Amino acid sequence: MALLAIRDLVTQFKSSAGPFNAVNGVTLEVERGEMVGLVGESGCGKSLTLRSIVRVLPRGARIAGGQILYEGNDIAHLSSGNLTRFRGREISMILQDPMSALNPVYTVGAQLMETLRETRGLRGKAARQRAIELLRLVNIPDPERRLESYPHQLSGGLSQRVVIAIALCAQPKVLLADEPTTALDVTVQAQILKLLKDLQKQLQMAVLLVTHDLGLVAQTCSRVAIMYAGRVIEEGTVEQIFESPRHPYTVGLIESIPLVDGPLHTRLPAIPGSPPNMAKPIIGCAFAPRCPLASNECREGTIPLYDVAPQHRVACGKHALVSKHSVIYGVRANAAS
Amino acid sequence: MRYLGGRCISSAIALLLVTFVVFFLVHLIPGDPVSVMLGQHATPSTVAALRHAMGFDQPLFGQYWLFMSKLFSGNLGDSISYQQPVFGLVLGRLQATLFLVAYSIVLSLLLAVPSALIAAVFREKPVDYALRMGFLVAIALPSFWIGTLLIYQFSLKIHLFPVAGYGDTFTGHLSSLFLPAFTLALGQWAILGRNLRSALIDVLQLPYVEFARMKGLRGSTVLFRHVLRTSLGSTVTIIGINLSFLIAGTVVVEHVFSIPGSGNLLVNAVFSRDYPIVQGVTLVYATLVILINLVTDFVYPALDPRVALT
Amino acid sequence: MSQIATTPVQTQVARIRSPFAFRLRRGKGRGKLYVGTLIVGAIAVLAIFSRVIAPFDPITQDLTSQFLPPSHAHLFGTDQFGRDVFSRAVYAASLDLQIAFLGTLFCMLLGVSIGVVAGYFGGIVDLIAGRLIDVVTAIPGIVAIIALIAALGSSMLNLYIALAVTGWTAYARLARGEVIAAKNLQYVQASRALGYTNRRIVLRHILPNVITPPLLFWITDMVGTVLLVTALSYLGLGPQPPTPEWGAMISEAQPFMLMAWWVPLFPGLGIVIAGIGLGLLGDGLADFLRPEVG
Ligand SMILES: Nc1ncnc2c1ncn2[C@@H]1O[C@H](COP(=O)(O)OP(=O)(O)O)[C@@H](O)[C@H]1O
Ligand SMILES: [Mg+2]
Repeated sequence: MALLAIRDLVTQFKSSAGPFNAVNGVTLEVERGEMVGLVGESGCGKSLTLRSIVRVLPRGARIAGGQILYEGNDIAHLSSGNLTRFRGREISMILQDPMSALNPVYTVGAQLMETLRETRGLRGKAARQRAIELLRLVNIPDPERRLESYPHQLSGGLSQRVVIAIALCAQPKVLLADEPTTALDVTVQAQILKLLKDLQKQLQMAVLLVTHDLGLVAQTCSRVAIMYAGRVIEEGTVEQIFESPRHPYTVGLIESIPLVDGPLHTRLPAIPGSPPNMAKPIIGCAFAPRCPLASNECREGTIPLYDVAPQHRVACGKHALVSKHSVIYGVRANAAS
Repeated sequence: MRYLGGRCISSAIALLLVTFVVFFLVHLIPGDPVSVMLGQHATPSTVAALRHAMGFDQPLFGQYWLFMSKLFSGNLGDSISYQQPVFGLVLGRLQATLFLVAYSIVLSLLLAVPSALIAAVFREKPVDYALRMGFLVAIALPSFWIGTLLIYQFSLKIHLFPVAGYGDTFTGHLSSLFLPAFTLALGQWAILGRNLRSALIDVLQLPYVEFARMKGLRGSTVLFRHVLRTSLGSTVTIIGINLSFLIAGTVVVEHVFSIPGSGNLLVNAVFSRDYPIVQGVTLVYATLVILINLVTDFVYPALDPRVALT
Repeated sequence: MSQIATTPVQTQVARIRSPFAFRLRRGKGRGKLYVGTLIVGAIAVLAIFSRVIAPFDPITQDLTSQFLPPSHAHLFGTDQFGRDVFSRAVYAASLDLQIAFLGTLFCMLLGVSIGVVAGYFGGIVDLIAGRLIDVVTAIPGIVAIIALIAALGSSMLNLYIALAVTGWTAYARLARGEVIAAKNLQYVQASRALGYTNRRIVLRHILPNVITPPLLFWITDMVGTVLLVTALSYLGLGPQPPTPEWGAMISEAQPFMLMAWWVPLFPGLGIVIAGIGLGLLGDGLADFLRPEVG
């Protein structure tokens, strides 16, 4: 049984034009201790999926359907008291911009120790000792001194390390990381990613990593889920996704990964068109309007998830026809000019 | 630091200009100020004596010089009706006024903080609408009318509080000044409550508040330690800005509740044409406002470490 | 990767949010605006047509009908001189609203002029205006007015003078800030480069941009000024008895409160309702005109 299994999750926004499903049937599994990548264009509902898991939603959003099974128990409808006991201790989450995730009026130490106090019951010397250990764990030099720092005195990379340390206070089994490196300098991004990878191995902690960089996923994760318009449209191991993608959208994404050894200034072939307007109900496959393989049956009903191989699921009726070479959006050689 | 230095200088300039305004006030009196002050029955010799004592027989600049040099030795002239030095008289009455101001600030915070929290947390729900309606009404309430109604209800009909006065002991003050402080607090409640509500709503949506929830803090800890704590900075500023307004309010409320404060002294002085007292109270109030605003400028950085270091 | 990632999203988010945000904006101030306009309109009608609406003369005494409780004949009862409280309250509305309206109008004219001049010319002019604002705001409003009236004497003209001299600073601050922002706008700099006169630039280009915040504040300011003026007359420093005036009516009625609660009650309600109406109108307009929903 998966540690965390999300089934048909629907998260709704209220709007004056009626509710719309920003997360529209996400199905996703995370096993104990593994690192899973969640990839998709921005606006496709990645953050909202993660926020639904810990139920820290923006105003106007609510979970309207589906299950979130943690160790087999549905946590989508926990009372707020139980939810508090669940957050941080079982599943913790870190945000895109570490600078704004820390309260500017408290020191790093205060923010670590309040978390230790409420989640672990640690106070005084013990809390301080543990806070120092945590800062050491995330490779912050001179942790005793850092405890006294205010957030505005830290660089972006240091802040993200502090945020990670705080998220780990209560030893969660799952860490949800929402684009943890997007807001950081390029040089720091790799360091933070390596830290997350090391922590995942060292602490046997599952990590669900949101990113829109497929290349990065290939290096760090064992499994990948691809999201499009509020749905996970393909899920599989890194080899399955990269070697034998079965959704035309996935193929398009892989095609547009920059080649490290390719010619400079290569214009990447983008998938023509743009994602659908989520405010209107989506009938059939959301990707159909942009899909080179789409036919009439793609535009009706709901596309189910097909099991195409062990652990490999795809939401495409034409999956049998799809391969890396059968779906072509652009030709790299021609685009090089 | 440079900012605070600049604030000190501009406060000093404002204070200097206030002394000039206060000095010039008596020259606005149509006709001869001295005969106006002494009334119709004054003999020519007393008029001449007072004129000389107040320096009116000198050129304007000389008069201001005299006024300022007396001011620096703590001399604001003598009251005509009380036959006493104005400075001592005003300071003696100031205690009740300051007690009233502090009391009403405390009461208004006790009312405003919980109601703003409730309104912000239950934003756009019926409680929020009710509280916002309450703020709107409270801002429109005339203190002298509410004060009058409160006296009618709680002093005359059920004798819960004294009708007038200031009391002799600390608890006496607390009980005597409860209704007046409450009257003043209603308006402050609305101003602070509104402001704090929108500050709380802004902060509630910030990422660090979301992260505080994600890391497993209890709802109450998030609300008090993270949301309220960072929103209070603006409340301190608003209290500072509104201080002048609050002091103005005490003038009316002291009159309604017959409190022996300096505001009451001022109003009575107008009727007895006791201009030195009018000048004295004006000067003391303006000094208070300037000083306290300066103090809030120094307090604010202590609430926000980001400001403190720049 | 990031190419496909970022561009389409912008359009998607905008498409979903903008109709939503726009509705919200239009819907938001509306209720307040309607109710506020209704209340202010009703009081304005009462005030303007007080002579027609008031059933009794507000000043003539009738010692045979002292302290009559509210009834059909006397809607709000009668006072210690047998005068109809309703008629007096209606006349008082006319006087108090007129003072509040004109008083704040003078404040706005004075304040906006000072603010525009200070903001536009900057330098020493701005410095002097800044010090003036500091001084006036340092002396608590009603204290300054009392001091001025004490010196000048109590009359309608002096009341207006005192209100204008003490009440302009907020307008000046608002206008000054807006002018400094408008001055840096492209077209203003362009007209300056074209050699237009300062007067023309200020009147034709800057003032229209600058006037909205002071106009909005004007409505809120009237709430405060009604309170201020009625408080002054309550203290005996405003229009003198027997002139019907809300604050003076409350003050006169105070000694007889246990006997006749209705005499102070209704003038006070008048002040409160006027304040609520103006408050709703001001809030509603501000919500309505706010460029974006926060
Ligand atoms: N505060 C909000 N109000 C209204 N709609 C929102 C809000 N936040 C997100 N959405 C909607 O939810 C969709 C998914 O958002 P999000 O999960 O943040 O995307 P991602 O993290 O994949 O970039 C967006 O396309 C947008 O339409
Ligand atoms: Mg996101």
